[in-house]
Amino acid sequence: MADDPLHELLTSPLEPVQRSSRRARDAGTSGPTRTGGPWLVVAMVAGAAIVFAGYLLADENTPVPTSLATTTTMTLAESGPGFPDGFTPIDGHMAIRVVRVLIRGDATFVTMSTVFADTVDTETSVGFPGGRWDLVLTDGRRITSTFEGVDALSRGYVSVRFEVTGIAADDIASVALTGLAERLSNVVDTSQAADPVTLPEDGSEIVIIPATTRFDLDAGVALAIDEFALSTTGGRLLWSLDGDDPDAVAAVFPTLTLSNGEDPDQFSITRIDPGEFRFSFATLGLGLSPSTRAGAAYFDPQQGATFTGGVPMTTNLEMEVAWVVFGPADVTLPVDTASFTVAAG
Amino acid sequence: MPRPLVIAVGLLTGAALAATGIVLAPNSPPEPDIAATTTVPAVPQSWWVDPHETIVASSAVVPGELSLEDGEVVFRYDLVSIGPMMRGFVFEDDHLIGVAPETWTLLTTDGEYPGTTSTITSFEARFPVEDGFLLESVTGIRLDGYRLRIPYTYHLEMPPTEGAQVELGDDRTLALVTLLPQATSVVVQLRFSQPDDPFSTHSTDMTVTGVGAEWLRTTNLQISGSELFRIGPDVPDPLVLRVHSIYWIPYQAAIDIDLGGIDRG
Repeated sequence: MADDPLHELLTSPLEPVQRSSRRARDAGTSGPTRTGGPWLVVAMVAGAAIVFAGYLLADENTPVPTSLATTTTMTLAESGPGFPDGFTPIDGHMAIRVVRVLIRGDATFVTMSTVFADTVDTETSVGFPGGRWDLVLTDGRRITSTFEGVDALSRGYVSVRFEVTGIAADDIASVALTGLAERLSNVVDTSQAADPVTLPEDGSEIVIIPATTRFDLDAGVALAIDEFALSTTGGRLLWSLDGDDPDAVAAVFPTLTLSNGEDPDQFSITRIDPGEFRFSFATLGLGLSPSTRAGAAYFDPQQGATFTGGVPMTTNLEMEVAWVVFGPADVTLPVDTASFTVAAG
Repeated sequence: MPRPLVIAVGLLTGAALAATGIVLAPNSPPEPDIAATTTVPAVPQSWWVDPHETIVASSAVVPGELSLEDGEVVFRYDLVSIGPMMRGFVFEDDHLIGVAPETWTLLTTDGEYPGTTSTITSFEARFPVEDGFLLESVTGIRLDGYRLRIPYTYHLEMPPTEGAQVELGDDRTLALVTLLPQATSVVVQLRFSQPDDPFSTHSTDMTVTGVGAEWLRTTNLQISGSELFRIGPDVPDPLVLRVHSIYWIPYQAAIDIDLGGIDRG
């Protein structure tokens, strides 16, 4: 039976069970406590105070110490943020450790675990942004990573793919983080409001020159529209990255809207290439970093089988762009604490 | 008792106690006029390890309670991650984390008892004990083994032939079960095989999509597999697929769990 019978009666069977003791503690939901006899305690304290005040007034000549304060001095931490054993700091608030190496017939995967420093709120801070890696072999070769795989439910874990096969566990000397990703995103759009296009009714394709074909994004990266073609049966957009940073990569997800100013707007269904992991919550993929400098998008009519032909229409392209640039990093991770698995075949 | 009477009794009792203390107190010399200084070692502010929490991989075990139920000692705990969320994702449920304790040892004054956690979603360890066992004899709990939820995401190539099979490591395979070209599309059914493992889940262990704009969608099959749809009658050779998979990898450990402050119910 609960300490507070009223609380027990008022508790709904639908009330969620607080399973997390940490959350319960943090939220201060430890439950009601009973405080018996408050008036008696208050009265006792008041009585004692009255008597003690009288005693002090009657004994004014007694020397009273001028200070009985205790000062507690807290020494400042000088070693910076703390990380669990075995983790190597990669910046001021995050550290990383190799936990597994899987050598398969098609590639080698290195899985790492990342943790925040003990001064970081894990619930409100941004996680590992992705990186560029080298698998360092004992013969001196350095194999550059091609893909980072993560899972939304595996907090802090990332598996990096290296295109190397036929190696043994002893051939791996270390893993080096050579670049730390900075992820940026924006939405850009361009339209043909001043120069409507008329799609041929015979289904043939026409090339459209958007009002803007080059968008300066940031950090020396620009998005270029290389081709935009449209017919009543669908459309095609080819894009590439341009600019000063040859290592930047991006993912582009455009949407197309056609309007003649009178009828309802016509929207498109977009398919993109390289294909992304198009599950409901992950439209831009489960990999940490987009891995391409060029791509394509295809537009299918959303309403009906075709777009309207023979009518001047404004085309509007709205493009969600997520791009990554890599900042310098020079961190070497040991592999001696990792588990190794060499797969057959 | 009426409230005025309570207050009166309290006042008298407090006054009597204070007066007695004054009379009986020794006439000690005054304290020196200096401040006492205490220096304590630096303790960094810690978000991820509170007192009595134990780090396991990138998570912390938060002890809950220890009880004796039907011939078993039950250790209930919570897990909180000290690892970062995947960018762009927020999950309210702390339990969706990448560590799952599996095997344990109960340490007592009379010996050791092995225990297990039954699944990745069970946050309790059970230790069978003999009749007459007393919780007071428990001196500690050691975690002997746990699993890590390790993600593998990658592209692979597969010949467009029914029966084709690709080895994925850790005794896992991906097989092309059905290839069905139609007038305007192609249907591909894939089956994922892995060792029987009642400890971990299977429903989301592997999902496969096609690489390229022609692949419209994927649906998960009821029995560990995926069905892919591709626009057009052509069957590409090879099939280029993108795999997202989860392996629950076992790890051995010898981690003493901090039981300080635990509720021995």
